[in-house]
Amino acid sequence: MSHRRLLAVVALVAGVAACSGGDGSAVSSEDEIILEFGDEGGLVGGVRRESVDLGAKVTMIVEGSTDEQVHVHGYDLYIEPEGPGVLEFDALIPGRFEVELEQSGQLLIELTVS
Amino acid sequence: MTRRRHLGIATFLAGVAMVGATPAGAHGIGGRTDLPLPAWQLAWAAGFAVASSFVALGAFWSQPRLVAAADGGRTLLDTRRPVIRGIEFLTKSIGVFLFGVLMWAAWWGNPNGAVNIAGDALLIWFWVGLQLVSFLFGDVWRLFNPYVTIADSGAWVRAKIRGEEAAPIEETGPLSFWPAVAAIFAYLWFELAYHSTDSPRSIAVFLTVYSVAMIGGAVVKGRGWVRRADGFAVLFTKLAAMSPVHRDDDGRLRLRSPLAGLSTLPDIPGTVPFILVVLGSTTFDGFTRSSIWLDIAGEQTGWGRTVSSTIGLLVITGLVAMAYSVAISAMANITREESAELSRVFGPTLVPIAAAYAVAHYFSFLVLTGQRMFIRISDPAGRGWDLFGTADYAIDWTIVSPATIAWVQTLAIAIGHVAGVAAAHDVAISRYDHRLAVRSQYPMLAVMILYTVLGLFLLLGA
Repeated sequence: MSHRRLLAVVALVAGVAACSGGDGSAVSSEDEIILEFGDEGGLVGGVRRESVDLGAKVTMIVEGSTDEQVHVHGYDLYIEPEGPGVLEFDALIPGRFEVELEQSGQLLIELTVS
Repeated sequence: MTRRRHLGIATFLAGVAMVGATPAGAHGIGGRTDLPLPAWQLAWAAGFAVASSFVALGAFWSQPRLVAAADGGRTLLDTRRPVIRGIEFLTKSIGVFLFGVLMWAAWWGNPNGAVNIAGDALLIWFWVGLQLVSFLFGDVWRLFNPYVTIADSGAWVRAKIRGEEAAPIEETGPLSFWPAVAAIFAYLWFELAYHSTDSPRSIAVFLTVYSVAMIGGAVVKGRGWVRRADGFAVLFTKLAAMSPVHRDDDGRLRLRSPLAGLSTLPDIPGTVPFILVVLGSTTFDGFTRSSIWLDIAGEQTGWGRTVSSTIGLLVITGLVAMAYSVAISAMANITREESAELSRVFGPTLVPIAAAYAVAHYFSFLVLTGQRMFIRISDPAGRGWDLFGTADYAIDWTIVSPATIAWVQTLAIAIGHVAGVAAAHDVAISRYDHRLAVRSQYPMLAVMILYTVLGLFLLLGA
């Protein structure tokens, strides 16, 4: 491919990319995510996916007992085992994040913020 | 597999097992992944890829252009000049210094991976960063590679002591890339399958075993070893062959057509398996973000995760390799040549796909999670230092929007696909007449489309 033709292709695709930058406007909504732990410490129902809107107020609640910190990656927020078991945050970072037990590395939820 | 390689792998696994007890929250890399691509964007990319492939094959050119352009190009810089040699001395010193810092932080720094520089330095800036730098700007790593510096210095000292000339690089070391295949697979296994990959001590053990294999190999086999057994350097060199910037045999830095260098990659055994292993591993990494994988291994931790990830890595790499060899067999049927010969000739045209996968999977990782490096450089060992006043830097997760990331991914896959098809077509044109060249490429085109669709499918993260 000649330089010029290659350039033309790149310019074309870059142009298409530039035209499509619009984000949907952030919707303010509220979401409640409940992490219920069974007697053996595992998450009831197993690993699952949750989606919330960008900008939403998220309340994450730990029910049942676990002796580990719950870590929300990306946001780098923690729910301590000895605390009230509730975490509130605004979902302002878009992406897909892992929520896991910090010590064992056990994945709990894949949280999609979009 | 030779006994020595068995021994090497056994040593490696034993080393890893020693530190394997450290619990760590390693899942995939970084804990953040991109949003799934919207379906219309996937369709756009796939359509673009398929349509442009046919245009490229049929109409674009009937003369080999890339192969012909491999050696030429405008001279940018004569690197034989003393000033440049001085700069090279500086970069090599920096390379050895940074390697030392990494080893120090990994062995003696804070054992918590969340505050130690080792994980980010190895995975983000070295592994991901240098892949992107290499295919864009050429073989930059050769200026810094500490193994080459150490091996060359050793050879120089040995020659001095013995009072003889150092043996030419070409005559030393292995005559194949198989050691590099083993080396890169060891790294990919460590990064993608091993469960404690972000523990600084695990990284320390990995780097030490890897370094012993490199330096030890150079002592026994000569300094050619580090050129052909160091999986990292071999990968960066292959990616750099795509780059418009290259250094010719006389040491001049020149500008040539992108992709032109692919035909100049040394044709020695192990090249194709090497590329397929890298391609397969990135595919596997994408696959681990799918709901299929979530169902299979989502709840696993510890060695259970290591075992299922190892199997997954091997299976996916096997499938990627199988698709390639089926295409090559079909091509051999059309051109009536040996499959092995065709595989070697067309193998390098997979490099653009590997580059595209790297961009599609790791671009956001580099620009988002990669910002953590600003924090880490102020406190490499996690001891509460603040060397450059950046220890409190907060990652700006909004520096690129999801829409931008999605477009970078889509375009990377589409352009990588077109580049692969173009490079393969160019090789075919240099070997056959136009009719046979086009006909010979249908199986290859099919496999390229398969890889593209696969690459896009993985970006769905469904």
